[in-house]
Amino acid sequence: MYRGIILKQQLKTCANKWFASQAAAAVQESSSPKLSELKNGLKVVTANQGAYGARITLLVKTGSKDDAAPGLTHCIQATSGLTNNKNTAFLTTQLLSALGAEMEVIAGRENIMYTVGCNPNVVKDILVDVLYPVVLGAKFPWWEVRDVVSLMKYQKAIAETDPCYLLMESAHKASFSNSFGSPLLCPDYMMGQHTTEMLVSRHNSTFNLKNMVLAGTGISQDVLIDAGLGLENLSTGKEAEQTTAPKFVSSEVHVEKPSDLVHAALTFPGASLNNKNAVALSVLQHAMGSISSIKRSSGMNHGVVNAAVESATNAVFNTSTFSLNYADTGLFGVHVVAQKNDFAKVMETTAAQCSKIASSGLSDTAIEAAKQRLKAKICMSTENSSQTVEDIAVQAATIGTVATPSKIM
Amino acid sequence: MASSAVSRLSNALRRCTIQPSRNIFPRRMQSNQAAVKVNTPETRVTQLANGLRVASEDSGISTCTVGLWIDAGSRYETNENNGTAHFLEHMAFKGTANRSQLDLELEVENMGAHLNAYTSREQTVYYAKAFSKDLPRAVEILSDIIQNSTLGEAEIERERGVILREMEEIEQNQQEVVFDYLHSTAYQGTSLGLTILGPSENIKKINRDDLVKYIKQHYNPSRMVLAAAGGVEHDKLVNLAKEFFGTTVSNDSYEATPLKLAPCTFTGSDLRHRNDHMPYVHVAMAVEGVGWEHPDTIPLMVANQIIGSWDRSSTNGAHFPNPLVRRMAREGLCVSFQSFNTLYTDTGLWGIYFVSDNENIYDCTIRVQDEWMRLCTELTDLEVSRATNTLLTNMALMLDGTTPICEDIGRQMLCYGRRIPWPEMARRIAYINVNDVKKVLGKYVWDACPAVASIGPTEALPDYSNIRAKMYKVFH
Repeated sequence: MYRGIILKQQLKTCANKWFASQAAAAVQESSSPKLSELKNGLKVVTANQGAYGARITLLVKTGSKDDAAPGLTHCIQATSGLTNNKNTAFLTTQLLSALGAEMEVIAGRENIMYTVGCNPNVVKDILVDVLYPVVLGAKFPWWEVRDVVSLMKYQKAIAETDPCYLLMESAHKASFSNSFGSPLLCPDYMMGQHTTEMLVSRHNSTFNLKNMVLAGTGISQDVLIDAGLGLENLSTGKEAEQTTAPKFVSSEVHVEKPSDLVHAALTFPGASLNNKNAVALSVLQHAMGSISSIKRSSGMNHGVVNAAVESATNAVFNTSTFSLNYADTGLFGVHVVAQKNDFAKVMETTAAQCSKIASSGLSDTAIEAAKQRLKAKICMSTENSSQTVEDIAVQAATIGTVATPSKIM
Repeated sequence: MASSAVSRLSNALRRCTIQPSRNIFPRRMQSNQAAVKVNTPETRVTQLANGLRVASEDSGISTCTVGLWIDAGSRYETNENNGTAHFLEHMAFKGTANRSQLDLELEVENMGAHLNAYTSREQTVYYAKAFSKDLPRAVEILSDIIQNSTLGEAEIERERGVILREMEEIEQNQQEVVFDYLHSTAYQGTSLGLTILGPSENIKKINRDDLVKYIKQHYNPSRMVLAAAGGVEHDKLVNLAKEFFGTTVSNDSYEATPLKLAPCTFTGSDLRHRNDHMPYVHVAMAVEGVGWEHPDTIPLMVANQIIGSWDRSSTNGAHFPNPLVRRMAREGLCVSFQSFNTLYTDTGLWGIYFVSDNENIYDCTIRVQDEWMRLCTELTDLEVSRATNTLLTNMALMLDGTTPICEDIGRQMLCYGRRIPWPEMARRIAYINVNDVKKVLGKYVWDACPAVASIGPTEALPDYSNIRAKMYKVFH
């Protein structure tokens, strides 16, 4: 009862606060990213400060590559927002709704990102009352960990309907020998096997401020620094140790599914994010052909691979090149999709084309066009604050600086 | 046939949201966000002598989006030519008098630009996204596409096949199907009841003359808006518009535009497609709402927000403040539900889409209607203020980048004839109180005849008379 009264008061104030300084929203400032490191070890980075809606990301440098028990990261993601040292799951949800905010948790191979979209005026409340407790104070009580299994199963079932997800998982499994290739989503045999102890120990060892980045768009650097300063490093862990870079191995993984279309990825070692070749590889990606930017295009003009395969085969197919940059490794590859009868021929031609490019290079015009496409892609991604906030958070976390679009060019 | 099996590579990240998933309606059926950006440069509007409106917002950045918003879509069609607007959209990037398809693609790809187009029931849109310095070329390409499309016979034949395949694909998407059903029953006998893609008989017979006639009839400068956002100087854009669109004369005398004014009557009715082989029932249930310009749209949007949306993948559903979300999450009655408010010029559909199985569909429908009735009678202040907050945040977050802003400008210019400045919109939303919401719900929902469309094992779905009888409540 007592709790109930407090909650109601708190929610009411939240709801009223929203309009208090509606007119004082930040004016369009320079959108160049600003980065500072606080005394408590937290890195704070902002960009696009004039954007109307605010997006705040708290990034933790840990992911499925650190999973001692496969699927642990998935479990951390699925339990996010449940009971923590300050709020119950109920209060967390109610507070977010009262402040008109939404929270999203994205867990990847190297990072877990907690992103909140909200009005700029309530950023500090969100951080102090909701986001910090969610990230730093998670408790993982056993009954909640038990209940979350059905959600994990559902998420996995949904993800597996996407052939691209399956393909990328297999590509990582085939390309990396160590835990870097471990699955993003919990494998079936580990469902329900994660315990509170496992989660708490992982949380204690990796969720500390030195391992985190607070990134924001639509909010000024000062406000974010102010909100970050109040944090104490509760965790006993240290900054993540430098692990040895995952090694690329040549191998193959096949997943059989009944379908008319066959998807395959042909992968090569890529470049890490701070490797100077990363940009060059991205140019190569766009020269070979990534995704067409014209609706219903013929697909022949955004790279050289499609056109070459088209002239050699009579099949219905598509290829698209990808280049993934991680902290200390990367993965470059070609995604090929074709009908099953034509597949062998399409794949052979694509592989032949790749080795031809490797030996004899590309024409200057192809590279010029690819540079143009890459530049446009980078500039256009800065328009979008949900993309930007992820980008700056990852860059600050992995290379410690944030590159401006002009610098990359 | 070239590579048509296009697929997007997921970046191998997985997501889970704590917020019930936001509107996921595809563009062609969604039209319920109305928002503008705060403290952004003002939107400047100029009308050319031939009636073309040019509207832009200059944020000074290095990229921009520029596009044509045309007052034309499947609502302007008849049973005989239904599908033409969408067919034309397919022909858009297939070559013009000055460029072949491959030249066009090469030119655009080498600029690093994007070209996109879509058709809804009332609007057709073509837009380009490019570096701001390439704006003149982007406008020139758009004008070339609109005015000089070759519409070659070979390309028409090829696209005919593509559209027929697209129809097969859409038939697999139950959500799209059920919304087409909803329109066809709610707006039966009118042009809003037509689908965007058109029936396959029409697709099989549409020829070059039909397309040319449609362009002449509908692609008139007086019914178009050239909208732009990003690093765009308004005066420069106006000059470009004069150069590339200024010479076209409006063809409004050609059959005029009587269709625009033809009202589309809403009929409370029921359409069921029973298929016991499907695992889930998809239901869309709606009452007649209001059109874009009507002041009641905003309270109706707030009501939508209070009902909310949910699907099984969202965590914490049982703790949500929205009673229907909480109830569905606790009782596990449905797979997902989503409240929607689809707006057209002079009418709209306000309702809910939900997916459930045969065992639970009855209870699920009852719960949904209980919630509607609760909203009409027992709404609280707190719920309304929470909903307006969420609505404002969502609107602000949606205007993310030049393309959404440009879409907003184009759509508002067509719907309202102007762009509503953010402070005005924010104030209109902020001043909504519980009585306003109750009043509009009393007006449009209470004791109204809903239109219901469903597909799947619909056996247990309540009869229409029962659904209708639950649209009011007797108090003793």
